[in-house]
Amino acid sequence: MRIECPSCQFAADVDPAKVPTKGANTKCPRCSNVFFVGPAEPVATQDTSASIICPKCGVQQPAADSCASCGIFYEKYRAVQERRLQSDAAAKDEPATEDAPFPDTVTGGLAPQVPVPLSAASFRFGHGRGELYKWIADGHLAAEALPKASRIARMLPGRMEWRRFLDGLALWSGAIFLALAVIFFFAYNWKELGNFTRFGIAEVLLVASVLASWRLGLERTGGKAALLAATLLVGAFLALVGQTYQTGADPWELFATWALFVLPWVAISRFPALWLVWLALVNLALTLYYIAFAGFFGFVYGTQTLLWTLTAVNTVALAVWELAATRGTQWLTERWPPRLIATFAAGYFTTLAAWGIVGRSSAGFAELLGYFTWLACSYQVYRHRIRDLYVLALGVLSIVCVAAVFLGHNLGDRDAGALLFVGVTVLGISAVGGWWLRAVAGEVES
Amino acid sequence: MKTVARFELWGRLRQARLVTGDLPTAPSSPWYIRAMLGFAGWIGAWFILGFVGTGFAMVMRSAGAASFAAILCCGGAYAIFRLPSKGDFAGQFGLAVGLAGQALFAVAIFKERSASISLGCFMFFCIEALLTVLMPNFMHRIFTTVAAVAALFYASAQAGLHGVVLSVTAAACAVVWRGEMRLVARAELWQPVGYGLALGVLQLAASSAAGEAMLSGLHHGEADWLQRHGNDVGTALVAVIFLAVTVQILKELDIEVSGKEGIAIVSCMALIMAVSFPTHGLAAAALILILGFAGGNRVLFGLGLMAVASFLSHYYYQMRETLLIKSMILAATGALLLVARWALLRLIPAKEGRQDA
Repeated sequence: MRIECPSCQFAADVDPAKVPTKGANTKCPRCSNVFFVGPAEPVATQDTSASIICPKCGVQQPAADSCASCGIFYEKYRAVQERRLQSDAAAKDEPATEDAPFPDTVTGGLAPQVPVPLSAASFRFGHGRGELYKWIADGHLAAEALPKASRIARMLPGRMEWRRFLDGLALWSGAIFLALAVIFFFAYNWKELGNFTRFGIAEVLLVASVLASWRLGLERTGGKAALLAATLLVGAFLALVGQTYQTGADPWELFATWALFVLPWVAISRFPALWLVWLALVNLALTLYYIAFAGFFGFVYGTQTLLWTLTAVNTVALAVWELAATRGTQWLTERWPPRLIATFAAGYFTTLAAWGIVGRSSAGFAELLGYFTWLACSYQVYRHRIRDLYVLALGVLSIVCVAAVFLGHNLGDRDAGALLFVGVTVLGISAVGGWWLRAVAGEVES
Repeated sequence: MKTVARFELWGRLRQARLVTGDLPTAPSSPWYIRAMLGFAGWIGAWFILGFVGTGFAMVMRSAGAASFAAILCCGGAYAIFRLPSKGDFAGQFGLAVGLAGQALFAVAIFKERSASISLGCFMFFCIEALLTVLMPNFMHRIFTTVAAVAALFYASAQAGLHGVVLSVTAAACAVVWRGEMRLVARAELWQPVGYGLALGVLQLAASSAAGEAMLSGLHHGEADWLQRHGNDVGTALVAVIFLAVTVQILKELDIEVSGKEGIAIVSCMALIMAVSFPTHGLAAAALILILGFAGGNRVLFGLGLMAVASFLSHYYYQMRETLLIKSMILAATGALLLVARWALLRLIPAKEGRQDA
């Protein structure tokens, strides 16, 4: 979208996605005039007013005064947003420009006197790759234009992007390799080394990692990498304790204690990957616990109970994560961690439902009831509130799997016709699912 | 991709006169929808195969009948894929029938050639390679490429050439992904083949990481040097391919390979590859990772990341070295990575001007 300063008429192209949903005050890089820019003005295509995107619901539609999807009047919406922002700025009694990330966006972070169009600013890894290939396949873009189009889309890394990537890769993998080296070292149980030396090594490395994290600060990547290493080293230390003093503790107790000990710094870290490591420890401790006790109380602590527990724990973790993210917790805005948790939760619940169908003598009804309730809740949340197509695709895949198990279990041993029926039904469900996902893709991705 | 971002990208392309007219309405299909459909098609294929096996029992008993049924299935799938206006269901059905056809080919070959596993695997490789070229379906091509790579690997294991197959697959994968701008005119063929090769490389690297014991059943008599060290040869060659890709990327970034920066970067990479050599599979995973990043391909990049994590986890259970030796190898690699990072940050200052790949 093109922004023009009302004072000096300086104009620049700006990525509409970078404009906050409420709009923002921005400072002209040429004359320093502060003015309001809102996404409220419907984003029209460059040289045609044939179609626009609603600034509130994001639905693309023919140009009009109001949105056909959510019903807002564009002018009124824009005026309301502008008033709201101005009153917010006045209430905070701060310079208006500090609220706006816009000057940086417009100037690409360079000196304000040097206006640089946004199109020259930011690298976005893989941005628009799928679209470019589709446009080539559909004949909208010439195949030989792909290199130039890729540069325009800024999807390919340049020198500085490679530097950043290698910097992060070397730092993270270096920290993880070193922490794993310590774990492997203690797992070897080198008796000749002596207890004093072994505890000394473990404690010194643990304290050094924590100190490094504290010194570097958790807002820096180095500090986070050091804290991740410290988290892994706690496990090595606890294993060493068990090894040396023969505590008789079960493996699940090691992981449970590990999760408990690192919880305080995980809680203050504001670091999604560390929360995932912690959740993995909890999952592992629970699994080992049920494996350890299944022999004694097979009825109470059977596989079904384990699956129920893992499903419940991961679903609660997912719900808490999404709730915190939707309430504006900045460090939780990345989508990959909740998607990873959702993948595991869906996997556990699908296995549970399949287990219920196959071993119906126990409590198949409860499993299926729980599964469909969970599915309905997930649909409601990810279709209408958070709008995440990945989780919806997971749900479709889960339904396909459960349907295959259900039909296969009930009809599979009859005759060839029944097998064909099951196969065709499974394919039909997946085809309908694929069609539905594509149909909602445009809406969800807007 | 967000609709607003699509609009913006289309606008930029139009400014550059690469496209004309309004933004096309249909967005591209995300990878996970394709993956979901592919997985569902695979499940469906088992039932179709069950239907053929149960309904026409003689198909499973005779190699000739199985071959005939396989040709019918693959021919049917081809006809479905070639339909001028096919819906999602037809595509899914074609995929499942095609996969069932491949399984029937395997039944036919190994019924007839049960004495010679290598020859059977090689015949299966030829069929899968042919199907990859002929079948005009994205997911089907991924499946056939992965199957072809696996078949060639087992066909060559008896001669101890499985490591060479791993490296040839890795090289083919690198050629496809590094040359995708040139191959884009036939993207419908090369993209699925590229993904299939990437999955194939990781699959073979996993076999390599599992050790020679896994392939010992294929050897007659005492294994020779090549048979015993095939996995080492494969890992070493993959490391060389990794370095070749590094050199090519440096050239693309206008960094002189013979200059100070180039020599430092290549030496560092070579050293890391050498030190981490015993961690079989890591070189292949690192290759997929940099191919993904260099091409702006998030799916390939994610696959590489997952593979790195998996091979590292598996290393704990690898039986070649003691835990003490493994610990030393990991410590040396970790320390080297941190030193390399320190050198990189000094070698290339952060405020250097941006250059495009």
